[in-house]
Amino acid sequence: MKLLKNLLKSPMFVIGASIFLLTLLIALVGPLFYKITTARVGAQYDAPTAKFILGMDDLGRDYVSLLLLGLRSSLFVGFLAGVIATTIGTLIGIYGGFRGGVVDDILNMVTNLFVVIPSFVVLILISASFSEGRSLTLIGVIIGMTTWTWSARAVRAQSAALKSKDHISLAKLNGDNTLRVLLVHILPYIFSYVFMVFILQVSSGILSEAAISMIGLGPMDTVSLGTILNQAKNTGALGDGIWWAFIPATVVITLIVFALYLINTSMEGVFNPRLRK
Amino acid sequence: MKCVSVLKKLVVGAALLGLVSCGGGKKDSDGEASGGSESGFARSKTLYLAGSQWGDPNTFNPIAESWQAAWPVGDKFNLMYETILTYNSLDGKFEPLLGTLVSRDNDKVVVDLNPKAMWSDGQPVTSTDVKFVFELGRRFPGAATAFAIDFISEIKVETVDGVERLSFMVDKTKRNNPLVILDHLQAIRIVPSHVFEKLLADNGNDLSAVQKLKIDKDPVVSGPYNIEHSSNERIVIKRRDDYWGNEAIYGGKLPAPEYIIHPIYKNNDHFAIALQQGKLDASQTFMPRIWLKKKDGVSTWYDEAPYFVPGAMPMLLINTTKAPLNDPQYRRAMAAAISYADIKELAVSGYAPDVQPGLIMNQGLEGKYFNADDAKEFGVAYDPAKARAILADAGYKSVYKRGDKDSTLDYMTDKAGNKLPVLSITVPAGWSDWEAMVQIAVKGLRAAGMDVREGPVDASLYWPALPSGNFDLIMHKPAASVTPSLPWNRFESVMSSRNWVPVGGDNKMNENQGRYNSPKDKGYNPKVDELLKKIPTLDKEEDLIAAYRELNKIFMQDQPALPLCYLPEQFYEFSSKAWKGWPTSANPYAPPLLPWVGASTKILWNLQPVK
Repeated sequence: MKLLKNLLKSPMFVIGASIFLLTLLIALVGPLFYKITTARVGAQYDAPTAKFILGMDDLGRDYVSLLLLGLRSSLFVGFLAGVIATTIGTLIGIYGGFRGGVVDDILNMVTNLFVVIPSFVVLILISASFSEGRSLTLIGVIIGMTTWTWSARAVRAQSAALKSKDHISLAKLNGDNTLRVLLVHILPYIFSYVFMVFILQVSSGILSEAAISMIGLGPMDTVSLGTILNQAKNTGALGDGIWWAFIPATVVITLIVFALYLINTSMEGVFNPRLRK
Repeated sequence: MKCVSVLKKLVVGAALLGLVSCGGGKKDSDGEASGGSESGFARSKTLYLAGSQWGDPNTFNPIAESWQAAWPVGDKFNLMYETILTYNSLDGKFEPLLGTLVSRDNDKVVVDLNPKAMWSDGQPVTSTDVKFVFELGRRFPGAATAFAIDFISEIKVETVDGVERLSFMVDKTKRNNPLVILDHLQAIRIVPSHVFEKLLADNGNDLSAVQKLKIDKDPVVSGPYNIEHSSNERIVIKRRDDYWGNEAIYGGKLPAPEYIIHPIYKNNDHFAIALQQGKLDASQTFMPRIWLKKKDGVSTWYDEAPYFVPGAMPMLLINTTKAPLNDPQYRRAMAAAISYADIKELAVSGYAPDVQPGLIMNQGLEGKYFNADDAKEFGVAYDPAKARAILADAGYKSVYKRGDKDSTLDYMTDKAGNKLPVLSITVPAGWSDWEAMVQIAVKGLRAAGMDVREGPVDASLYWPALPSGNFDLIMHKPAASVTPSLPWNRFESVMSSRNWVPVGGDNKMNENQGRYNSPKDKGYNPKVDELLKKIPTLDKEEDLIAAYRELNKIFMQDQPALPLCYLPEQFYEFSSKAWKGWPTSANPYAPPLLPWVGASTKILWNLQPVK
C-alpha cells in the first residue's frame, strides 16, 4: 500500500497508468457501447464522417470497429508475450544468478547467445515457417520465446546480488531446498524488478506484433493494430494520402507503449532508493 | 576527448553526405540537369518503362524458356527479337512485322516474309531463321518452342516475286488447330539461325548448353533496340538507328527515345510513386485508386471508370477431385456466395465492368459469343440466399460455434453427416490485388456456411502447386494475354481433359489444373473435349457462336472454376510529364499495352519529348 501511495505521488506514474487503464477499459468494455461490425459499410477508404469518425478501410469496413478489435488483439499478444518472456527470463536469471559457477556460466552463455542473435530475425524466420494457421496466440508465443533474454539478464544481476545475504544463508542452514530458497527468499525481494521488466516485455510484445504484422507475417483471420497497418501499406494508402489508414492505429500503439514506459520509468524512481529525491 | 571524437564523426558524416549529394547532382551528357533521371541519360532522349522485370536479369537468351529471359527478350516482346506478326487486341487484326498475313484456312496459315527484314549484322531475315525456331522441337524435345511442332506439320517455302512465302501446314493428326498457329505467329520470336547454329556446333550440338548462355554482349537482333547494359537495378537498351523497320514500316522515321530504361523495383508502391514523380513514363503494375493519382499526371486508357480495357479473367480454380469440391452443387453454391461487386470495387478499384456468369466476357472481341439469356438461365450470380438453398438441398449442413448462424462457423457436414475438411484457397502472398480478391471470396463463402480459409503461400510454392493439382482452390489467371484464339484458349485452359492425369506423384497438368471431367470417370462428358477440338476449325460465325454457347452452358452448369472479375490484359498507366503522344481511348492508334508488347511497339514512333 505504501508503495502504491509513493507511486501515486509520481505524476509520471499517474499519467502513464491513466492512459494505460483507459486503453484497457476501451478494449474491454468498448464493444458494449460501440457496435462492432466487420461487414462492409462503405466504399474503399471512404473519408471520416460524423457517423464513421475514422472512415473506412480498403474493404469498406469501419475503422473504429477495426481499431477496437485490433486493440484487444494487440493487448492480448502483448500480455501473452510478456508473461512468457518474463517467466522464461526470470526462471533462467534467478536460477543462474543464485547458483553461480558452471551452471550460471552455461545459462549466461545461452542468454548471451540469444542476445547476439537478432531476435527480430528469428521472429521473422519462425513466423514465415508457419505459413498456414498463424494465430494470435502463436504470434504471442513466438514473440515471448524470442525476447526473454532481457528479463534473464536483469533478474540474474539481482539474484546474484542477493545470494550472499544473511537471510539466504539462514534459509540454507535451515535445510530449505533451492526451489524454496528461490521462490520464498529471493523472488519476493526482486519482485518489483520482475514486474518492471514484465511491463517492458509487454510493450515490446505489442511493438513486435505490430512490426511482424506490418511486414505481412502477422496473425491470419484476425485484426490487430499491426495487420491494420499492413493492410494499409499493401494497398498503397500512404501514397494516396489516406491518413486515416495509418495515423489512428499508429497513435494507439504509440500511446500504449508510451504509457507502459512511463509506468516503468516512474516505478524505477520509486523502487530504486538511489534514484529517489 | 569524447566531444572531439563525436565532432569528428559528425564532420566525416557530413562530408560523406556532401559527396553523395554531389554525385546525385551531376549534369547529363548534353548539359541538362538530371531532374530525377539517372546521370548520363538525357531525360528528353530516355524513356523509363517498368513492371515487367522484378528480379535480377539472368539471361537475354531468346531460346531460353520465355519466363527465364529478362525484359525485353521474353514473352511476345519485340524490341530486340521480333515476331512474324503482331495482333491488335482492339480490332482483332494482324499487323505486319517480319512478315504479313496472306491467308488462313483449316489446312494452312500463309505469310509473306518482308524482304527488307535484316539482322543487326547485315544478314537478311529468311525462312531458314523461321524454320530454325519453329522446328527446333523436332531436333531437341527440350526446346522452349517445342510445343509448336504439335500444331505445324511442315513449313513450306516458295518464292513469289522475290518474296519468301511461308505456308504453316496444320498438323491434322496431332492437334488440328489452325487457331493456335495464329497464336504462335504473334508470339514466337524469330532468332538468327546463323548465330545459333554456330553456337550449337561450338557446344557439341547440346541445346541445354546453348540455352544457358546469357547472350547479352552485342547480340545479333532484328528489332529496333539492342541491349546496352544490365544490372540488378536496371536494364538499358539503346536505339538501333539502322533498324530495317524504320524504312520498311515507319516511312523512314526513327523511334523517338534513344534509350529505354527498365528500372527494377521491388514492390508496387515504388512504381506508383515513381510514376507520380515523373521518374517513370509508363508502368504495367497494379495501382489502386488511379483517380487519386491523376493530379500527379498519371493517366490510363479511359479517363474515367473502368480506366482499363478488360482482357483477362482472374479466377479460382477448383480441385474437382476432392470432396466436397467434386460436387457441382457445392461449386455452384460457391459461385452464388461470392460478392463480385465487392471484389470489383474493393479489390481492383473498379477497374472492370461487372463480371458475368460463364467463361466468356460480354466485352471486347469475344463479346459477340456471349449470350445474356443463357447467363441468366444457367449461370449463378451473387445471391447468398440461393447459396444457402443450394447447399441445404444437397444435404450440406453448417455447424456454428454457438449454434446460431451469426456466431463463428465451426465446420460443415455432408449429406451423410460426415465432417468436411477446411478448404484453403492458395494465393501467392504479397500479390495484394489477388489477396484482396481471396479475402472477399472467403468472407462470402464463410457467410454462406462453407468452411473455407485464405491460404497465402510464397510464390515459390504457388507455381509448383498449380500444375500438380496440390490445392483445394487456387487463384489463377488462365489465358492471361489477349491472343487470336480467345475465348477458346480460356476454355481449353480450364476445361480440357486432353492430358488428364490424377493428382499425385510427378503428375502435372498445364491446363485444367483442377482435374475437371476425368475421361476415366463414369460421369465423363465427352461433349466438352469434342467442342474444344471442333471450335478452332470452325470458320462460320454462326457455327462458332453456337459452339461457344454450348460450351459456356456446360461450364455454367458444372462450374469447374469461379471467375472473380475482369481485368485488363496489362495495367497500362502512363505519365505525360516527360513524353507525350500515348495512345488512349480518344486516340486509339495502338492497343493499351506497354510499348514493348506486340502491336503496341509503334507507340515508340509516336511519342514526343515534352521538352
